[in-house]
Amino acid sequence: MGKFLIRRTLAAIPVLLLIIFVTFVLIRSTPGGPFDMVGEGRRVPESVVRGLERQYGLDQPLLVQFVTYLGSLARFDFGPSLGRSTLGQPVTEIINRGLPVSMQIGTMAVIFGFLFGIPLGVLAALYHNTMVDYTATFFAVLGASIPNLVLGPLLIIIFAVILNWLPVMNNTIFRETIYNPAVIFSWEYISAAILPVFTMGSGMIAGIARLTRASLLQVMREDYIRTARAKGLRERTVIYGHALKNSLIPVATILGPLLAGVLTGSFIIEQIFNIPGIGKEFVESVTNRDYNLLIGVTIIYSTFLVAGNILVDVMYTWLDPRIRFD
Amino acid sequence: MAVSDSARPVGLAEEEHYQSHSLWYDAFTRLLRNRAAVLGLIIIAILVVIALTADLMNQWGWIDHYGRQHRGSSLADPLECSVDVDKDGDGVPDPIQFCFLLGADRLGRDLLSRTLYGARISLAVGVVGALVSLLVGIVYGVISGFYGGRVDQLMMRFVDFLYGIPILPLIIIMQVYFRALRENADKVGGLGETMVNIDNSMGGLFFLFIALGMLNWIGMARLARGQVLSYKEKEFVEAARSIGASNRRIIFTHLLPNVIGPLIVVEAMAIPGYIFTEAFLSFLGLGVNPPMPSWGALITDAINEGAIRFRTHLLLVPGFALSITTLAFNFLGDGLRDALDPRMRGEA
Repeated sequence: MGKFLIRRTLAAIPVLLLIIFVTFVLIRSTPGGPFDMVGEGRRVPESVVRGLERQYGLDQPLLVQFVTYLGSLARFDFGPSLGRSTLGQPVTEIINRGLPVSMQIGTMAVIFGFLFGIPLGVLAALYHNTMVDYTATFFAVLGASIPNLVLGPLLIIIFAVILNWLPVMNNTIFRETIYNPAVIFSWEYISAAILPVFTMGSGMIAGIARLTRASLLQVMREDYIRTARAKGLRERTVIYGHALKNSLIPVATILGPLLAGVLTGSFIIEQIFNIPGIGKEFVESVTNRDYNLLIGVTIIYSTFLVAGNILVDVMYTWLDPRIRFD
Repeated sequence: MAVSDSARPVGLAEEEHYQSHSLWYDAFTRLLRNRAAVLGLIIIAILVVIALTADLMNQWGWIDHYGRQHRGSSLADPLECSVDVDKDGDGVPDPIQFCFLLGADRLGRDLLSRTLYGARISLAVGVVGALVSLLVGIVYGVISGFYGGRVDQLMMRFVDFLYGIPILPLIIIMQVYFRALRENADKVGGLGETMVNIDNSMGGLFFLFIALGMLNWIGMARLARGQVLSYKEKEFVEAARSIGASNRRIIFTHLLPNVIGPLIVVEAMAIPGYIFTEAFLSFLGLGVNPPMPSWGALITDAINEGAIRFRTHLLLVPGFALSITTLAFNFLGDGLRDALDPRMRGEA
């Protein structure tokens, strides 16, 4: 197990290096620099742009820039921000500010997804080919078909504008949790978080429920389930004691795509709900041409995804002792 | 036909009505028995017709051109008609020119027309994305699986390496690069300029296809290889080889028809993903070139203009189109899986 973990981590290093290289080279070699737009649409004198580029080391040869960047990366320094409003601020600082906020929302959404997705899938499988099954499956397909991009604004319209039950936007509360974690239990926090978490989690519920259903149905046909029943075990014991754990093995694979879902979700949801997380920073870095922030956030996200894939493999061995990677 | 007669199983020899159907015929009849899949198929067929005839409908005057702006009709309500400003300056407004069935956006462009035109983008992205990754994946996977040995090892090493790369961040980075390329096409010259010209003539779809197709074939290649590996040792392949069939014949007539079923199912299920990705890229401002309307771009416009509070339909119309299309492809994908792989029936 330990050996496997080390091997996988080592194998991930060249992948990450390639991602850093491709991201860096593509973005830094894009025609037109980040300072073309400094003057808010007005044309900035050539000398000013050159000066700024020299100050931030953009006039060096690409390879020199890359080596310098790798050196600062080793110290967890993503360089200075090149965006209009945050010019000169360390990107590391911006990421540190946004990441905890994004992780709160993402974690809650994943928990929400599993909390509702697995029971829904189990229910559908146990009542296979009945009305319960059809209803659950229908909602699962529906949930997977409505994009966050539509669901988010729709929920705002319904719950915040028409019904007026929730505040439309409350974006400062998410940062307070860093200093005071107890805020999470306040109504103010819950009312701000519930819509984004539901939006992000609804697609997850759908995916998890479908997978759980399929996998449980398959497991219920295995010989050892027949054996368990033949022993005279109660149906409840058969399902919860023998079937469920094994049926969750394929469900673990969804953690990888789920992580990717949190990623895209954070881009969209943080923008829609005006949450000051790293996804919002990323979207703004695209429009602001804040290339350092763009590269930094891409690297962070890629690292998360690569780590997530390793985590899935680890979970495999834990859930199914038959699987050995050594 | 003496050979086929003698080859027929004894038990079936007397049955005059026995008819052998091809794999595809059987799959198709099974598909038609699945109501949800048929519904999905119908919706997709309607979308295809809309996408293909959008220009024609525009010529007939049924719908507006997607980029046409009616001045003075900014954010018009549904069923409102455009009263374009007085062009000849005689103090009397010009006669009614166009009625917005579903209202207009901030620039006075008809929402219904733009949504119908949007079907072209979403379908193109979904279908081309799926076809490209299917084609590249099959070629790569079949070569790797069929020839095996060192070729296989080398090819799969490469795929395993790429497999670790998260696709979405890379797609975004590539689109950022392409957009900058587009803005500075005159300075770049050479290949870059040619690509920008191709892209412009396709309204921004060309770069989108490249970015989407770049890495999505990898999963397909792995799946295709696995399928080939499991089939190439089967008796029917050995039988074909023993009567002297060429590699080419074995691959095309014996392996591919068996291998391709699961691949098609996986790709059909992946189509909504491509459509979502395009909508997502439009949301980042990295989708097709304006004024080309994609549903993602329409939704983004509605959100960004803050118009959704008062003009909810600006969000609902393209949102509904996007959702119903995804739903249709999901239904069809489910149905296809049941039809092509009866063993999996009703399991997922």
